[in-house]
Amino acid sequence: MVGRILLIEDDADIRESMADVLRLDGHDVQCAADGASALQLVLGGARPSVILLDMMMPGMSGAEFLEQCHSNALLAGIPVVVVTAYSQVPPIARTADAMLNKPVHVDELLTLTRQLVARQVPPAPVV
Amino acid sequence: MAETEGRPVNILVVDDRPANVRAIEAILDQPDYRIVPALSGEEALRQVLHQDFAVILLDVAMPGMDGFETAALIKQREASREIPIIFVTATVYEMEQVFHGYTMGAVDYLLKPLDPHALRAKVSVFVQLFRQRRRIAEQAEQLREAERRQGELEMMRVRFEAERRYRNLAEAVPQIVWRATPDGTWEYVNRRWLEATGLAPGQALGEGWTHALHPADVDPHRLSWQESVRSGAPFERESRLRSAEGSYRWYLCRALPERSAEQGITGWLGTFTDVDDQKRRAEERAELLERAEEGVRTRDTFLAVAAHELKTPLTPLRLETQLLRRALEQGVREQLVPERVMPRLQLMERQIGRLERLTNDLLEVARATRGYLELQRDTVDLSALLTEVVARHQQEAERGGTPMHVNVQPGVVGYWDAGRLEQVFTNLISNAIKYGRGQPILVTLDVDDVQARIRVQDHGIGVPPESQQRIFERFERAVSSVHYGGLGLGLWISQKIVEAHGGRIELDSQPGAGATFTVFLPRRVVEKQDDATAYLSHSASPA
Repeated sequence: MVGRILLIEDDADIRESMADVLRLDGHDVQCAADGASALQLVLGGARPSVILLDMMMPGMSGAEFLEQCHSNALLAGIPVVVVTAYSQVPPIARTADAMLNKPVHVDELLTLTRQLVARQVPPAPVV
Repeated sequence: MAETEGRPVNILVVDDRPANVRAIEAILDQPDYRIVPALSGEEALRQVLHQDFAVILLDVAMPGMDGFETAALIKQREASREIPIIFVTATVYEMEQVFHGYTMGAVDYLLKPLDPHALRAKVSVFVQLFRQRRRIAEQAEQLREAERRQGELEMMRVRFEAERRYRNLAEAVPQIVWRATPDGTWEYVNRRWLEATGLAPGQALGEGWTHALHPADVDPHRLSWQESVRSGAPFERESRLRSAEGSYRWYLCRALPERSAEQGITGWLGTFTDVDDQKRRAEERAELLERAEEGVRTRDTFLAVAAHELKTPLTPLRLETQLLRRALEQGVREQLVPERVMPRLQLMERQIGRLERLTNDLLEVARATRGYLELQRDTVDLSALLTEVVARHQQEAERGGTPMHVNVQPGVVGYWDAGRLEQVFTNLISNAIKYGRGQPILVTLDVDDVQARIRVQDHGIGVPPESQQRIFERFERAVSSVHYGGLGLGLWISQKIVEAHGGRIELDSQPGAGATFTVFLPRRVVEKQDDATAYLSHSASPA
């Protein structure tokens, strides 16, 4: 199951590695270095099936972006995975669909992404 | 006794005829008899009202109120009931029967014409009786008077003794002791007042004591005191008193009402106890505790931040190693060609570099906190060193879309610790990239006779004035950890290193307009001779 992934992460190396892993699994990956540029991508027409969201970012943080996800019609309903190195996260992070702890495992990342992508793709029409 | 005998006694002679009165006067003519005549019953009653009599000679047959009626009225009055009455009558008719009517006091009679001997004898008996009664009464009165005087003296002695003890006690105790009238006016204060405030006790009386209170305590103290005076409730409050030197000390001020069963509150007894040391110690303890707790909180926060910072480079490191392992395990050849593997290895090396720097920083905190900052000076080409550090960050800056410009004066050589300075430059340049919002960064180096000047200038978010001091502290940063990571150690360590070289770091920044950090590095070796470095330079040199 191939999905369109929006990866929001300010650390260039983490962004690069995660995007690499997801692309090798066949997904279409778009990257943003902070919440604001991610929002720009969505406003510009990107329709991700899954959003991977870092918490600590300059400008618009992950928590702030998550608030947007709940209030912005363009983002509503898109599954969000919070990716964080903190053991304690802000309360709003619990409203995300799933959470991945850094350092992220390849298997966990891919399994979770596939599951969420599958949930987004409508079942094939019965012939 | 002589006094009693000598004092004349009154004898009332009642007869409507003056000649009869005169006759009796003549018979009873004696220096210690005072004859008081009364020519009617009414007059007799008036006399009885005003003075005491040893005996009354009462003529029975009188016009108007006769002798019996007069006697009846005299006997009715409590004060005159006991006065013996001798009726003087011409007939003996029904005398015995008349006597039964009188229940109180002696009653007798004499027949006319009067027998002088009988008259003198009867009168003398009653006078004798009267004198005895009077003497007994006087003695009893004297006795009572003596007892009363004795009692009063004893009372005075006790009161005086109590007062003396009370004063002695008041002067002996280490507190300020005072007493006030029921309306709260001070009427006494002991000598401690003078010692505590430098003011004469006399000045404290009335309302004077309020002048020694701290201005901020005057109103609340007085209000509370007035409230106690009004309600009669014990008073208690902590207030400050000004000492003779002008400093203020805390006192626990207490007062209790003194009560008597009859009069209610008769006064107030109060103390001021110096609790300044106690209070100060309590405050110090609270402050120490607060600092300790703050320390624990800081450490906990730091550990959480440190864990986060260490995990962050581990993410790409783990992902890349797992990708390589998968490629190998699954034999995906196109993933294993050098062009694909090399960037992965470089990325992994960068993470290892990050971890190494983090670890060094963490070790540095421990060392620098204890003052152990040991410089290993050697001849350093500062121009080359700075250029190298910039080059190393060029790639990172470009990945974040940040152009980095360098203007380095070549050949700046000095005797410094190259490793430490590399740490400083790395910190400043990393910060410029991190907080530079992708705007151009300028790194310059120039030198004069005295010092080298390294400047790292960005055009990013800048540092607000209120944070410019703070960011050089341990675990501090100007921005929220919601947005930016990092241990909050870089500038702190950098400053320690530069200071160890005898130099300083200056920050010039406007929020939103970027920040310029300038490192001034003396060319001559001026060791910063604080205790720690002095200790180190001795212990580090071989003996």
